[in-house]
Amino acid sequence: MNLNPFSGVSHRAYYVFLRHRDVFIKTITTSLIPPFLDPLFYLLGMGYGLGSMISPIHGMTYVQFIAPALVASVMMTAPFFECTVGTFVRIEYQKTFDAMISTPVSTEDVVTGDIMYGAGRAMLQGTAILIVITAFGLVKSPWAILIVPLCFLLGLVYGSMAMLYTSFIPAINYVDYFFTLIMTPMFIFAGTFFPVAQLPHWAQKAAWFMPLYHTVNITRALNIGDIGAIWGNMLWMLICGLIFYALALWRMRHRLVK
Amino acid sequence: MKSIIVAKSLVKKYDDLTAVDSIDFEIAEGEAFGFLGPNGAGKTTTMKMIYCFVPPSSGRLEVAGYDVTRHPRQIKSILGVVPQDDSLDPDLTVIGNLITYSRYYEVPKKIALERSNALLEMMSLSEKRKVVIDDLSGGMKRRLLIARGLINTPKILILDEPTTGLDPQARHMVWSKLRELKESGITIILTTHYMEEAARQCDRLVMMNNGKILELGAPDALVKKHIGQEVFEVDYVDEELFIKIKTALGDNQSIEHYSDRVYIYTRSASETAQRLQHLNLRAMTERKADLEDVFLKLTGRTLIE
Repeated sequence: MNLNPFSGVSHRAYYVFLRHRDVFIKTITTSLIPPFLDPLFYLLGMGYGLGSMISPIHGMTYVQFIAPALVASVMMTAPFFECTVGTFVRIEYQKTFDAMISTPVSTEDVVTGDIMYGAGRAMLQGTAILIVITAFGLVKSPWAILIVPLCFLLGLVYGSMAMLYTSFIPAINYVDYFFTLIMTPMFIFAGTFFPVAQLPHWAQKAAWFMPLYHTVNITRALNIGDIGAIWGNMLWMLICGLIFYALALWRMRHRLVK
Repeated sequence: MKSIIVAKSLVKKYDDLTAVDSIDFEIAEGEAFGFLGPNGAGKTTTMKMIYCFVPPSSGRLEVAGYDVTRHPRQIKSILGVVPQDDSLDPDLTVIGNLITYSRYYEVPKKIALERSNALLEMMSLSEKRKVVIDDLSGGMKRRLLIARGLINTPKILILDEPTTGLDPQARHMVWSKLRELKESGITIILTTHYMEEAARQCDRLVMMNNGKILELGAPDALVKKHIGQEVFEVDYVDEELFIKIKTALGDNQSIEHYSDRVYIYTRSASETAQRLQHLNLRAMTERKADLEDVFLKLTGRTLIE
Protein backbone atom coordinates (compact mmCIF):
# COMPACT_ATOMS: atom_id res chain seq x y z
CA MET A 1 0.00 0.00 0.00
CA ASN A 2 1.66 3.16 -1.19
CA LEU A 3 1.21 5.93 1.34
CA ASN A 4 2.55 8.71 -0.84
CA PRO A 5 -0.47 10.48 -2.35
CA PHE A 6 1.73 12.01 -5.03
CA SER A 7 3.43 8.83 -6.20
CA GLY A 8 3.51 8.32 -9.93
CA VAL A 9 4.09 11.99 -10.67
CA SER A 10 7.35 12.79 -12.41
CA HIS A 11 9.05 15.54 -14.36
CA ARG A 12 7.34 14.11 -17.44
CA ALA A 13 4.27 16.13 -16.50
CA TYR A 14 6.15 18.99 -18.11
CA TYR A 15 6.11 17.19 -21.49
CA VAL A 16 2.33 16.92 -21.23
CA PHE A 17 2.26 20.64 -20.52
CA LEU A 18 4.42 21.29 -23.59
CA ARG A 19 2.04 19.36 -25.81
CA HIS A 20 -0.88 21.48 -24.58
CA ARG A 21 1.20 24.58 -25.16
CA ASP A 22 1.88 23.50 -28.76
CA VAL A 23 -1.83 23.02 -29.39
CA PHE A 24 -2.55 26.38 -27.79
CA ILE A 25 -0.15 28.10 -30.16
CA LYS A 26 -1.67 26.30 -33.14
CA THR A 27 -5.17 27.37 -32.18
CA ILE A 28 -4.20 30.74 -30.80
CA THR A 29 -6.80 32.78 -32.62
CA THR A 30 -9.63 31.06 -30.82
CA SER A 31 -7.86 30.27 -27.59
CA LEU A 32 -6.41 33.65 -26.70
CA ILE A 33 -8.92 36.42 -27.28
CA PRO A 34 -12.41 35.32 -26.11
CA PRO A 35 -11.59 34.38 -22.48
CA PHE A 36 -9.76 37.63 -22.07
CA LEU A 37 -12.74 39.74 -23.06
CA ASP A 38 -15.08 38.57 -20.32
CA PRO A 39 -13.43 40.32 -17.35
CA LEU A 40 -12.88 43.37 -19.54
CA PHE A 41 -16.62 43.73 -20.03
CA TYR A 42 -17.24 43.34 -16.30
CA LEU A 43 -14.66 46.04 -15.63
CA LEU A 44 -16.26 48.47 -18.03
CA GLY A 45 -19.91 47.66 -17.33
CA MET A 46 -19.89 47.05 -13.62
CA GLY A 47 -16.80 49.01 -12.71
CA TYR A 48 -17.46 52.23 -14.54
CA GLY A 49 -21.12 51.87 -15.38
CA LEU A 50 -22.54 50.61 -12.11
CA GLY A 51 -19.66 52.02 -10.13
CA SER A 52 -20.63 55.57 -10.96
CA MET A 53 -23.68 55.08 -8.71
CA ILE A 54 -21.89 53.45 -5.77
CA SER A 55 -20.17 55.21 -2.90
CA PRO A 56 -16.56 54.38 -2.00
CA ILE A 57 -15.83 51.04 -0.33
CA HIS A 58 -13.00 50.95 2.19
CA GLY A 59 -11.78 54.25 0.79
CA MET A 60 -11.66 52.97 -2.81
CA THR A 61 -13.86 53.79 -5.77
CA TYR A 62 -16.03 50.89 -6.91
CA VAL A 63 -13.97 50.21 -10.01
CA GLN A 64 -10.81 50.15 -7.88
CA PHE A 65 -12.55 47.72 -5.56
CA ILE A 66 -13.51 45.20 -8.21
CA ALA A 67 -10.50 45.49 -10.54
CA PRO A 68 -8.08 43.23 -8.62
CA ALA A 69 -10.97 40.88 -7.87
CA LEU A 70 -11.55 40.45 -11.58
CA VAL A 71 -7.92 39.46 -11.97
CA ALA A 72 -8.46 36.91 -9.22
CA SER A 73 -11.59 35.59 -10.91
CA VAL A 74 -9.61 34.75 -14.02
CA MET A 75 -7.28 32.61 -11.91
CA MET A 76 -10.40 30.57 -11.22
CA THR A 77 -12.25 30.49 -14.51
CA ALA A 78 -9.35 29.58 -16.82
CA PRO A 79 -8.27 26.40 -14.99
CA PHE A 80 -11.91 25.55 -14.23
CA PHE A 81 -12.67 25.43 -17.89
CA GLU A 82 -9.45 23.80 -19.01
CA CYS A 83 -9.47 21.02 -16.43
CA THR A 84 -13.09 20.09 -17.00
CA VAL A 85 -14.00 20.49 -20.65
CA GLY A 86 -10.43 20.35 -21.93
CA THR A 87 -9.46 17.29 -19.95
CA PHE A 88 -12.72 15.45 -20.62
CA VAL A 89 -12.47 15.95 -24.38
CA ARG A 90 -8.90 14.68 -24.40
CA ILE A 91 -9.83 11.58 -22.46
CA GLU A 92 -13.11 10.60 -24.00
CA TYR A 93 -13.10 11.82 -27.56
CA GLN A 94 -9.61 12.40 -28.78
CA LYS A 95 -7.83 9.45 -27.20
CA THR A 96 -4.97 11.84 -26.63
CA PHE A 97 -4.68 10.46 -23.15
CA ASP A 98 -4.40 6.90 -24.48
CA ALA A 99 -1.54 7.92 -26.72
CA MET A 100 0.36 9.52 -23.86
CA ILE A 101 -0.09 6.61 -21.49
CA SER A 102 1.44 4.24 -24.05
CA THR A 103 4.72 6.07 -23.45
CA PRO A 104 6.71 6.39 -20.20
CA VAL A 105 4.32 9.18 -19.20
CA SER A 106 2.06 8.03 -16.36
CA THR A 107 -1.56 8.80 -15.58
CA GLU A 108 -0.38 11.03 -12.76
CA ASP A 109 1.92 12.89 -15.15
CA VAL A 110 -0.98 13.59 -17.47
CA VAL A 111 -3.21 14.84 -14.66
CA THR A 112 -0.44 17.08 -13.40
CA GLY A 113 0.38 18.34 -16.89
CA ASP A 114 -3.27 19.23 -17.45
CA ILE A 115 -3.41 21.13 -14.16
CA MET A 116 -0.19 22.95 -15.03
CA TYR A 117 -1.66 23.96 -18.34
CA GLY A 118 -4.81 25.29 -16.65
CA ALA A 119 -2.54 27.32 -14.37
CA GLY A 120 -0.59 28.52 -17.39
CA ARG A 121 -3.79 29.78 -18.98
CA ALA A 122 -4.65 31.50 -15.70
CA MET A 123 -1.29 33.24 -15.79
CA LEU A 124 -1.70 34.35 -19.38
CA GLN A 125 -5.18 35.71 -18.93
CA GLY A 126 -4.53 37.10 -15.47
CA THR A 127 -1.52 39.01 -16.73
CA ALA A 128 -3.56 40.37 -19.62
CA ILE A 129 -6.22 41.73 -17.27
CA LEU A 130 -3.56 43.07 -14.95
CA ILE A 131 -2.07 45.03 -17.84
CA VAL A 132 -5.51 46.39 -18.71
CA ILE A 133 -6.30 47.58 -15.18
CA THR A 134 -2.84 49.08 -14.90
CA ALA A 135 -3.55 51.01 -18.08
CA PHE A 136 -6.73 52.28 -16.45
CA GLY A 137 -4.66 53.52 -13.52
CA LEU A 138 -6.25 51.15 -11.05
CA VAL A 139 -3.04 49.58 -9.74
CA LYS A 140 -1.67 51.38 -6.71
CA SER A 141 1.52 49.52 -5.85
CA PRO A 142 4.48 47.89 -7.63
CA TRP A 143 3.90 44.80 -5.43
CA ALA A 144 1.04 44.02 -7.77
CA ILE A 145 3.61 42.50 -10.13
CA LEU A 146 3.69 39.49 -7.82
CA ILE A 147 0.19 38.74 -9.06
CA VAL A 148 1.74 37.39 -12.26
CA PRO A 149 3.53 34.36 -10.77
CA LEU A 150 0.70 33.97 -8.27
CA CYS A 151 -1.70 33.50 -11.15
CA PHE A 152 0.17 30.29 -11.93
CA LEU A 153 0.56 29.07 -8.36
CA LEU A 154 -3.01 29.76 -7.35
CA GLY A 155 -4.22 28.52 -10.73
CA LEU A 156 -2.83 25.11 -9.75
CA VAL A 157 -5.28 25.02 -6.86
CA TYR A 158 -8.28 25.72 -9.07
CA GLY A 159 -7.03 23.25 -11.68
CA SER A 160 -6.85 20.55 -9.04
CA MET A 161 -10.41 21.28 -7.90
CA ALA A 162 -11.71 21.09 -11.43
CA MET A 163 -9.75 17.91 -12.12
CA LEU A 164 -11.30 16.26 -9.07
CA TYR A 165 -14.75 17.11 -10.39
CA THR A 166 -13.89 15.77 -13.83
CA SER A 167 -12.81 12.47 -12.32
CA PHE A 168 -16.42 11.80 -11.32
CA ILE A 169 -18.49 12.78 -14.33
CA PRO A 170 -19.79 10.22 -16.85
CA ALA A 171 -20.60 12.63 -19.68
CA ILE A 172 -19.52 16.07 -20.76
CA ASN A 173 -22.83 17.82 -20.08
CA TYR A 174 -22.27 17.31 -16.35
CA VAL A 175 -19.66 20.01 -16.62
CA ASP A 176 -22.50 22.54 -16.58
CA TYR A 177 -23.28 21.71 -12.97
CA PHE A 178 -19.75 22.66 -12.03
CA PHE A 179 -20.06 26.06 -13.66
CA THR A 180 -23.48 26.92 -12.28
CA LEU A 181 -23.23 25.42 -8.80
CA ILE A 182 -19.61 26.02 -7.95
CA MET A 183 -18.03 28.61 -10.20
CA THR A 184 -20.81 31.17 -10.45
CA PRO A 185 -21.70 31.31 -6.73
CA MET A 186 -18.03 31.82 -5.93
CA PHE A 187 -17.75 34.48 -8.57
CA ILE A 188 -20.65 36.43 -7.08
CA PHE A 189 -20.35 35.87 -3.35
CA ALA A 190 -16.63 35.65 -2.59
CA GLY A 191 -16.15 39.39 -2.19
CA THR A 192 -15.62 40.23 -5.85
CA PHE A 193 -18.46 42.69 -6.41
CA PHE A 194 -19.26 43.62 -2.83
CA PRO A 195 -17.54 43.07 0.50
CA VAL A 196 -18.35 39.78 2.18
CA ALA A 197 -19.39 41.76 5.24
CA GLN A 198 -22.61 42.65 3.40
CA LEU A 199 -23.72 39.03 3.54
CA PRO A 200 -25.68 37.48 6.42
CA HIS A 201 -23.50 36.01 9.14
CA TRP A 202 -23.79 32.39 8.10
CA ALA A 203 -22.91 33.32 4.52
CA GLN A 204 -19.83 35.19 5.67
CA LYS A 205 -18.66 32.05 7.43
CA ALA A 206 -19.37 30.02 4.29
CA ALA A 207 -17.36 32.46 2.18
CA TRP A 208 -14.26 31.63 4.19
CA PHE A 209 -14.37 28.15 2.63
CA MET A 210 -14.26 29.52 -0.89
CA PRO A 211 -10.83 29.61 -2.56
CA LEU A 212 -11.85 32.70 -4.49
CA TYR A 213 -12.45 34.58 -1.25
CA HIS A 214 -8.82 34.12 -0.29
CA THR A 215 -7.55 34.77 -3.80
CA VAL A 216 -9.46 38.06 -3.96
CA ASN A 217 -8.02 39.10 -0.59
CA ILE A 218 -4.55 38.38 -1.91
CA THR A 219 -4.92 40.36 -5.12
CA ARG A 220 -6.61 43.29 -3.38
CA ALA A 221 -3.85 43.43 -0.80
CA LEU A 222 -1.07 43.25 -3.40
CA ASN A 223 -2.80 45.90 -5.46
CA ILE A 224 -2.42 48.44 -2.68
CA GLY A 225 0.95 47.09 -1.54
CA ASP A 226 -0.21 45.50 1.73
CA ILE A 227 2.21 42.53 1.66
CA GLY A 228 1.66 41.59 5.28
CA ALA A 229 -2.01 40.82 4.74
CA ILE A 230 -1.61 37.99 2.27
CA TRP A 231 0.10 35.21 4.23
CA GLY A 232 -2.89 33.73 6.03
CA ASN A 233 -4.75 33.54 2.72
CA MET A 234 -1.71 32.06 0.98
CA LEU A 235 -1.42 29.34 3.60
CA TRP A 236 -5.11 28.55 3.19
CA MET A 237 -4.65 28.25 -0.57
CA LEU A 238 -1.57 26.06 -0.17
CA ILE A 239 -3.31 23.55 2.08
CA CYS A 240 -6.43 23.61 -0.07
CA GLY A 241 -4.30 23.00 -3.16
CA LEU A 242 -2.37 20.07 -1.71
CA ILE A 243 -5.54 18.37 -0.58
CA PHE A 244 -7.34 18.79 -3.89
CA TYR A 245 -4.26 17.77 -5.87
CA ALA A 246 -3.85 14.55 -3.90
CA LEU A 247 -7.57 13.78 -4.24
CA ALA A 248 -7.54 14.56 -7.97
CA LEU A 249 -4.59 12.21 -8.55
CA TRP A 250 -6.24 9.46 -6.57
CA ARG A 251 -9.60 9.75 -8.25
CA MET A 252 -8.26 10.13 -11.79
CA ARG A 253 -6.00 7.12 -11.29
CA HIS A 254 -9.07 5.23 -10.19
CA ARG A 255 -11.06 6.39 -13.18
CA LEU A 256 -8.48 5.85 -15.88
CA VAL A 257 -6.58 2.74 -14.86
CA LYS A 258 -8.96 -0.18 -14.98
CA MET B 1 15.78 -18.47 -28.75
CA LYS B 2 15.76 -15.90 -25.99
CA SER B 3 12.33 -14.92 -24.67
CA ILE B 4 11.65 -11.23 -24.51
CA ILE B 5 8.07 -11.56 -23.28
CA VAL B 6 6.85 -14.20 -20.87
CA ALA B 7 3.25 -14.70 -19.77
CA LYS B 8 2.10 -17.32 -17.28
CA SER B 9 -1.50 -17.86 -16.20
CA LEU B 10 -2.28 -14.32 -17.27
CA VAL B 11 -5.79 -13.19 -16.39
CA LYS B 12 -7.77 -10.00 -16.94
CA LYS B 13 -11.22 -9.77 -15.42
CA TYR B 14 -13.60 -6.88 -15.60
CA ASP B 15 -16.75 -6.58 -13.48
CA ASP B 16 -18.93 -8.78 -15.58
CA LEU B 17 -16.57 -10.52 -17.94
CA THR B 18 -13.27 -12.33 -18.15
CA ALA B 19 -11.48 -10.86 -21.11
CA VAL B 20 -8.30 -12.92 -20.77
CA ASP B 21 -8.77 -16.31 -19.17
CA SER B 22 -5.40 -17.60 -17.92
CA ILE B 23 -3.11 -17.70 -20.92
CA ASP B 24 0.54 -18.71 -21.29
CA PHE B 25 2.94 -17.73 -24.03
CA GLU B 26 6.53 -16.76 -24.66
CA ILE B 27 7.73 -14.48 -27.41
CA ALA B 28 11.30 -14.73 -28.65
CA GLU B 29 13.47 -11.71 -29.28
CA GLY B 30 13.47 -10.77 -32.95
CA GLU B 31 10.52 -12.86 -34.04
CA ALA B 32 7.26 -11.75 -35.57
CA PHE B 33 4.54 -13.03 -33.29
CA GLY B 34 0.81 -12.88 -33.88
CA PHE B 35 -2.37 -13.02 -31.87
CA LEU B 36 -5.06 -14.27 -34.20
CA GLY B 37 -8.70 -14.33 -33.22
CA PRO B 38 -12.11 -12.76 -33.79
CA ASN B 39 -13.27 -9.51 -32.21
CA GLY B 40 -13.69 -9.94 -28.48
CA ALA B 41 -11.16 -12.77 -28.23
CA GLY B 42 -8.98 -10.90 -25.76
CA LYS B 43 -6.17 -9.95 -28.13
CA THR B 44 -6.32 -6.20 -27.54
CA THR B 45 -6.62 -6.66 -23.80
CA THR B 46 -3.52 -8.84 -23.85
CA MET B 47 -1.65 -6.16 -25.81
CA LYS B 48 -2.75 -3.53 -23.32
CA MET B 49 -1.34 -5.57 -20.49
CA ILE B 50 1.97 -5.96 -22.32
CA TYR B 51 2.34 -2.22 -22.84
CA CYS B 52 1.22 -1.58 -19.27
CA PHE B 53 -1.94 0.23 -20.24
CA VAL B 54 -4.12 -1.96 -18.02
CA PRO B 55 -2.89 -3.97 -15.04
CA PRO B 56 -3.35 -7.77 -15.08
CA SER B 57 -5.88 -9.22 -12.65
CA SER B 58 -3.53 -12.08 -11.86
CA GLY B 59 -0.70 -14.12 -13.31
CA ARG B 60 2.78 -13.24 -14.42
CA LEU B 61 3.76 -10.98 -17.30
CA GLU B 62 7.32 -9.90 -17.95
CA VAL B 63 8.70 -7.79 -20.75
CA ALA B 64 12.48 -7.79 -21.24
CA GLY B 65 12.81 -9.13 -17.74
CA TYR B 66 10.68 -6.39 -16.16
CA ASP B 67 7.43 -7.11 -14.34
CA VAL B 68 4.58 -5.09 -15.87
CA THR B 69 3.13 -4.21 -12.49
CA ARG B 70 6.40 -2.99 -11.02
CA HIS B 71 8.40 -1.36 -13.83
CA PRO B 72 5.98 0.07 -16.39
CA ARG B 73 8.17 3.04 -17.30
CA GLN B 74 11.16 0.89 -18.19
CA ILE B 75 8.98 -1.36 -20.30
CA LYS B 76 7.25 1.50 -22.07
CA SER B 77 10.55 3.12 -22.94
CA ILE B 78 11.63 0.12 -25.05
CA LEU B 79 8.22 -0.47 -26.62
CA GLY B 80 6.59 1.12 -29.59
CA VAL B 81 2.81 1.00 -29.71
CA VAL B 82 0.61 1.28 -32.78
CA PRO B 83 -2.92 1.23 -31.36
CA GLN B 84 -6.11 0.17 -33.04
CA ASP B 85 -7.80 3.53 -32.52
CA ASP B 86 -6.63 6.70 -34.12
CA SER B 87 -5.03 8.48 -31.21
CA LEU B 88 -3.24 11.06 -33.29
CA ASP B 89 -3.36 14.63 -32.06
CA PRO B 90 -5.97 16.30 -34.27
CA ASP B 91 -4.75 19.81 -33.53
CA LEU B 92 -1.17 19.20 -34.61
CA THR B 93 0.46 18.60 -37.99
CA VAL B 94 2.05 15.32 -39.08
CA ILE B 95 5.53 16.43 -38.02
CA GLY B 96 4.07 18.07 -34.92
CA ASN B 97 2.60 14.77 -33.82
CA LEU B 98 5.96 13.04 -34.11
CA ILE B 99 7.93 15.75 -32.30
CA THR B 100 5.41 15.99 -29.46
CA TYR B 101 5.39 12.23 -29.06
CA SER B 102 9.19 12.09 -29.05
CA ARG B 103 9.18 14.39 -26.03
CA TYR B 104 7.36 11.82 -23.92
CA TYR B 105 10.34 9.51 -24.51
CA GLU B 106 12.79 12.35 -23.78
CA VAL B 107 14.38 12.03 -27.21
CA PRO B 108 16.66 15.08 -27.62
CA LYS B 109 15.14 17.66 -29.96
CA LYS B 110 17.70 17.47 -32.74
CA ILE B 111 17.65 13.69 -32.87
CA ALA B 112 13.85 13.73 -32.75
CA LEU B 113 13.74 15.97 -35.78
CA GLU B 114 16.17 13.81 -37.75
CA ARG B 115 14.39 10.65 -36.77
CA SER B 116 10.95 12.09 -37.57
CA ASN B 117 12.06 13.10 -41.03
CA ALA B 118 13.60 9.68 -41.63
CA LEU B 119 10.42 7.95 -40.45
CA LEU B 120 8.22 10.09 -42.65
CA GLU B 121 10.48 9.19 -45.55
CA MET B 122 10.24 5.51 -44.66
CA MET B 123 6.45 5.65 -44.53
CA SER B 124 6.16 7.73 -47.69
CA LEU B 125 4.66 10.64 -45.81
CA SER B 126 7.36 13.25 -46.36
CA GLU B 127 5.08 15.32 -48.59
CA LYS B 128 2.48 15.50 -45.84
CA ARG B 129 4.89 16.83 -43.27
CA LYS B 130 3.06 20.06 -42.52
CA VAL B 131 -0.44 18.77 -43.14
CA VAL B 132 -3.05 18.78 -40.38
CA ILE B 133 -4.18 15.30 -39.36
CA ASP B 134 -7.78 15.78 -40.48
CA ASP B 135 -6.66 16.03 -44.08
CA LEU B 136 -5.05 12.59 -44.14
CA SER B 137 -6.65 9.45 -45.51
CA GLY B 138 -7.17 6.38 -43.33
CA GLY B 139 -4.16 4.66 -44.84
CA MET B 140 -1.92 7.66 -44.27
CA LYS B 141 -3.06 7.97 -40.67
CA ARG B 142 -2.21 4.35 -40.09
CA ARG B 143 1.23 4.82 -41.60
CA LEU B 144 1.73 7.86 -39.39
CA LEU B 145 0.71 5.81 -36.37
CA ILE B 146 3.37 3.26 -37.30
CA ALA B 147 5.95 6.03 -37.75
CA ARG B 148 4.98 7.39 -34.37
CA GLY B 149 5.34 3.97 -32.82
CA LEU B 150 8.96 3.92 -33.96
CA ILE B 151 9.99 7.36 -32.73
CA ASN B 152 11.85 5.96 -29.75
CA THR B 153 13.58 3.22 -31.82
CA PRO B 154 11.88 0.50 -29.81
CA LYS B 155 13.10 -3.04 -29.35
CA ILE B 156 9.55 -4.31 -29.54
CA LEU B 157 6.82 -2.95 -31.79
CA ILE B 158 3.24 -3.76 -30.87
CA LEU B 159 0.56 -3.32 -33.53
CA ASP B 160 -3.08 -3.81 -32.69
CA GLU B 161 -5.06 -4.65 -35.84
CA PRO B 162 -2.65 -2.73 -38.07
CA THR B 163 -4.49 -3.12 -41.36
CA THR B 164 -8.14 -3.19 -40.33
CA GLY B 165 -10.10 -0.78 -42.45
CA LEU B 166 -7.35 -0.28 -45.02
CA ASP B 167 -7.72 -0.86 -48.73
CA PRO B 168 -5.64 -3.71 -50.24
CA GLN B 169 -2.95 -1.39 -51.56
CA ALA B 170 -2.41 0.26 -48.19
CA ARG B 171 -2.50 -3.12 -46.52
CA HIS B 172 0.28 -4.50 -48.69
CA MET B 173 2.35 -1.43 -48.07
CA VAL B 174 2.06 -1.87 -44.32
CA TRP B 175 2.94 -5.54 -44.65
CA SER B 176 6.13 -4.86 -46.56
CA LYS B 177 7.13 -2.17 -44.06
CA LEU B 178 6.64 -4.62 -41.23
CA ARG B 179 8.81 -7.15 -42.97
CA GLU B 180 11.54 -4.53 -43.35
CA LEU B 181 11.31 -3.68 -39.68
CA LYS B 182 11.52 -7.28 -38.63
CA GLU B 183 14.61 -7.73 -40.75
CA SER B 184 16.22 -4.84 -38.89
CA GLY B 185 15.95 -6.84 -35.69
CA ILE B 186 12.84 -5.43 -34.02
CA THR B 187 10.51 -7.89 -32.33
CA ILE B 188 7.10 -7.50 -33.95
CA ILE B 189 3.90 -8.36 -32.13
CA LEU B 190 0.62 -7.95 -33.90
CA THR B 191 -3.00 -8.78 -33.35
CA THR B 192 -5.36 -9.45 -36.21
CA HIS B 193 -8.51 -11.20 -37.26
CA TYR B 194 -7.22 -11.60 -40.81
CA MET B 195 -5.93 -15.08 -41.41
CA GLU B 196 -3.86 -14.00 -44.38
CA GLU B 197 -2.08 -11.34 -42.37
CA ALA B 198 -1.21 -13.78 -39.61
CA ALA B 199 -0.03 -16.42 -42.04
CA ARG B 200 2.12 -14.05 -44.07
CA GLN B 201 3.63 -11.88 -41.35
CA CYS B 202 4.13 -14.15 -38.36
CA ASP B 203 6.85 -16.62 -37.53
CA ARG B 204 4.62 -17.99 -34.81
CA LEU B 205 1.19 -17.17 -33.55
CA VAL B 206 -1.44 -17.95 -30.97
CA MET B 207 -5.07 -18.49 -31.83
CA MET B 208 -7.40 -16.90 -29.31
CA ASN B 209 -11.10 -17.21 -28.68
CA ASN B 210 -13.15 -16.10 -25.68
CA GLY B 211 -10.08 -15.12 -23.73
CA LYS B 212 -8.34 -18.45 -24.12
CA ILE B 213 -5.45 -19.64 -26.26
CA LEU B 214 -6.47 -22.53 -28.47
CA GLU B 215 -3.19 -23.17 -30.21
CA LEU B 216 0.34 -21.86 -30.45
CA GLY B 217 2.82 -22.45 -33.22
CA ALA B 218 4.06 -21.57 -36.69
CA PRO B 219 1.24 -20.97 -39.21
CA ASP B 220 2.23 -23.81 -41.56
CA ALA B 221 2.72 -26.25 -38.73
CA LEU B 222 -0.72 -25.52 -37.28
CA VAL B 223 -2.41 -25.98 -40.61
CA LYS B 224 -0.64 -29.25 -41.20
CA LYS B 225 -1.36 -30.51 -37.72
CA HIS B 226 -5.09 -29.87 -37.75
CA ILE B 227 -6.21 -29.93 -41.35
CA GLY B 228 -3.80 -31.49 -43.76
CA GLN B 229 -2.94 -30.00 -47.08
CA GLU B 230 -5.98 -28.98 -49.08
CA VAL B 231 -9.61 -28.13 -48.77
CA PHE B 232 -12.46 -28.92 -51.07
CA GLU B 233 -15.34 -26.49 -50.52
CA VAL B 234 -18.92 -26.92 -51.66
CA ASP B 235 -21.53 -24.18 -51.34
CA TYR B 236 -25.32 -24.31 -51.06
CA VAL B 237 -25.37 -27.62 -49.27
CA ASP B 238 -28.48 -28.52 -47.34
CA GLU B 239 -28.83 -31.44 -44.92
CA GLU B 240 -29.91 -33.86 -47.61
CA LEU B 241 -26.98 -33.13 -49.86
CA PHE B 242 -24.60 -33.19 -46.91
CA ILE B 243 -25.63 -36.75 -46.09
CA LYS B 244 -25.10 -37.78 -49.71
CA ILE B 245 -21.59 -36.29 -49.63
CA LYS B 246 -20.72 -38.02 -46.38
CA THR B 247 -21.94 -41.32 -47.70
CA ALA B 248 -19.88 -40.93 -50.85
CA LEU B 249 -16.68 -40.16 -48.98
CA GLY B 250 -16.96 -42.61 -46.13
CA ASP B 251 -16.52 -42.33 -42.38
CA ASN B 252 -12.81 -41.59 -42.32
CA GLN B 253 -13.20 -38.32 -44.12
CA SER B 254 -12.76 -35.10 -42.19
CA ILE B 255 -15.67 -32.80 -42.96
CA GLU B 256 -17.07 -29.60 -41.48
CA HIS B 257 -20.53 -28.28 -42.25
CA TYR B 258 -20.86 -24.57 -41.48
CA SER B 259 -23.76 -22.40 -42.69
CA ASP B 260 -24.43 -23.55 -46.25
CA ARG B 261 -20.91 -24.56 -46.88
CA VAL B 262 -19.11 -27.89 -46.58
CA TYR B 263 -15.38 -28.09 -46.01
CA ILE B 264 -13.69 -31.34 -46.89
CA TYR B 265 -10.14 -31.63 -45.57
CA THR B 266 -8.01 -33.82 -47.73
CA ARG B 267 -4.58 -34.48 -49.10
CA SER B 268 -5.73 -33.81 -52.62
CA ALA B 269 -8.76 -31.70 -53.40
CA SER B 270 -8.91 -32.84 -56.99
CA GLU B 271 -9.07 -36.45 -55.83
CA THR B 272 -12.05 -35.58 -53.66
CA ALA B 273 -13.65 -33.81 -56.58
CA GLN B 274 -13.42 -36.99 -58.59
CA ARG B 275 -15.06 -39.07 -55.89
CA LEU B 276 -17.98 -36.65 -55.73
CA GLN B 277 -18.41 -36.28 -59.47
CA HIS B 278 -21.59 -38.32 -59.56
CA LEU B 279 -23.39 -35.83 -57.32
CA ASN B 280 -23.13 -33.04 -59.92
CA LEU B 281 -22.26 -30.46 -57.35
CA ARG B 282 -22.25 -26.79 -58.03
CA ALA B 283 -20.19 -23.94 -56.52
CA MET B 284 -17.05 -25.91 -55.72
CA THR B 285 -13.63 -24.61 -54.79
CA GLU B 286 -10.34 -26.42 -54.51
CA ARG B 287 -7.74 -24.64 -52.43
CA LYS B 288 -4.90 -24.96 -49.96
CA ALA B 289 -5.80 -25.32 -46.30
CA ASP B 290 -5.25 -22.21 -44.17
CA LEU B 291 -5.55 -20.87 -40.63
CA GLU B 292 -9.20 -20.01 -41.08
CA ASP B 293 -9.87 -23.74 -41.43
CA VAL B 294 -7.92 -24.45 -38.26
CA PHE B 295 -9.94 -21.87 -36.39
CA LEU B 296 -13.20 -23.22 -37.73
CA LYS B 297 -12.23 -26.72 -36.70
CA LEU B 298 -11.20 -25.67 -33.20
CA THR B 299 -14.11 -23.37 -32.44
CA GLY B 300 -16.94 -24.08 -34.83
CA ARG B 301 -16.97 -20.46 -35.95
CA THR B 302 -15.14 -18.22 -38.40
CA LEU B 303 -12.64 -15.46 -37.63
CA ILE B 304 -14.82 -12.77 -39.18
CA GLU B 305 -18.50 -12.80 -38.38
